[in-house]
Amino acid sequence: MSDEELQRAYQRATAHAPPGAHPEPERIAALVLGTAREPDRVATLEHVMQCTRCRAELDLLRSAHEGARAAGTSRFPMRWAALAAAAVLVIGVGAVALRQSRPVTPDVFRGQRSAVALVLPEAGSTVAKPVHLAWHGIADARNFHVELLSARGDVIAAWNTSDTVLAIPDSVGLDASQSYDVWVRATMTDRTEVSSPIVRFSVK
Amino acid sequence: MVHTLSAVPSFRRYERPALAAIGVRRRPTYARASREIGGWYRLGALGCSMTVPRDSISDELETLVLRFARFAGRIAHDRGLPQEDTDELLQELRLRFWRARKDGLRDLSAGYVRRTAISAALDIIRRRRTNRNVSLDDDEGTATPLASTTAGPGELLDQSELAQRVARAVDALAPARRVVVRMHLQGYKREEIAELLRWSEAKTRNLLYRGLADLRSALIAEGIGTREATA
Repeated sequence: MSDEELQRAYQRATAHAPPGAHPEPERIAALVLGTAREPDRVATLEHVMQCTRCRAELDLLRSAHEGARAAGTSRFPMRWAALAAAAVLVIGVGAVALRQSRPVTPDVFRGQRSAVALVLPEAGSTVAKPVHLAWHGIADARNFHVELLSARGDVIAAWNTSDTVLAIPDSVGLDASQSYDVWVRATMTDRTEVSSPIVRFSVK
Repeated sequence: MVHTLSAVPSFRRYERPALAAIGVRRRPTYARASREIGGWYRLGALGCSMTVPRDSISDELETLVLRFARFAGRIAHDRGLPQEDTDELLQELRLRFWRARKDGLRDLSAGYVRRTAISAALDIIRRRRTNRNVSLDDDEGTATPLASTTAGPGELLDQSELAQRVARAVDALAPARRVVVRMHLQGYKREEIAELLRWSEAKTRNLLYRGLADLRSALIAEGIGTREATA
């Protein structure tokens, strides 16, 4: 039987009569948060994978977790940004002392591994069209996903590239005097993702 | 009575033109903007409603919620969750942020956002379970009928008989292989399986490969299926 035929047959079989009692919601959340011990993980998943309702609950928790993972590392409201800026300043002074030749990149909020950071455009700058983007590469990055957002956070355009530079095409229709946000997400060879901080810029 | 919410355009009527105006390559997001009325955000969910002044922090929070919606929407879309689920989650999250803000929210760290999002999802789940328990009309296990037009190895068998045999063959697998096979057959990707089980991808791949091979052998022994496929 092909994979698809097996999947169809199995999903048909598990569409009814879930086995035993449903696990507590907290136990399903522990799967998503990674706090469950191995035997609990396997036991809970054994039920969830045979129960339509618990699987929908797992997927809801997974989507909450994934949304938080992306949103929670994006940006801070202004009053927290001031604290973050102070922290970056302290780090920046240290970095300048170590490597005077390299400019300090602002606002790297993600602490894991080495971070992706945009070099162009500079945060807060006003640039002429065509807008060129450039970012520091990162070891083990397989490709980069670049997103251009409106100041409200809506995605205007997105590109995938293995390069570390990109020119925003005219077809995107950037408006003069508008602010835009841009950020880059690197997909690593192990399929995890590392995101850059968001950089806001305006167009002349 | 006259000045009720019906005077305000509903979300859908309010949001759609804005979505249409945004052009290129927009993914399905299920993002719902708050009803923004004359510089105020009006938030409403499940009988609660509150109005908060619009300022730079509320804008930032709203941006955060929209980013949340975009990424949460990807999983919801991949897994076929109904849009109402994502909408409800979003409204819960938004209310919590705004309530916390009224109480002098200081922390907007990744940890805080994650805790808030998970607790919002848990509340929705608990509420639904309670509603199910009090409902007499329990439709446990209702599922969309699966297409049965493909004449495959099970053509001599009734579809549901085949389904039961596959399920029994899965039940008989070794436990570590069984759980991976169950997840794979429910359509989870290998990296998702590895993440949920906290296993390395190599271990996951290995156990899935062996589990599917065991499953096929068991089915062939029963005279079901001969075609190979890659995991």
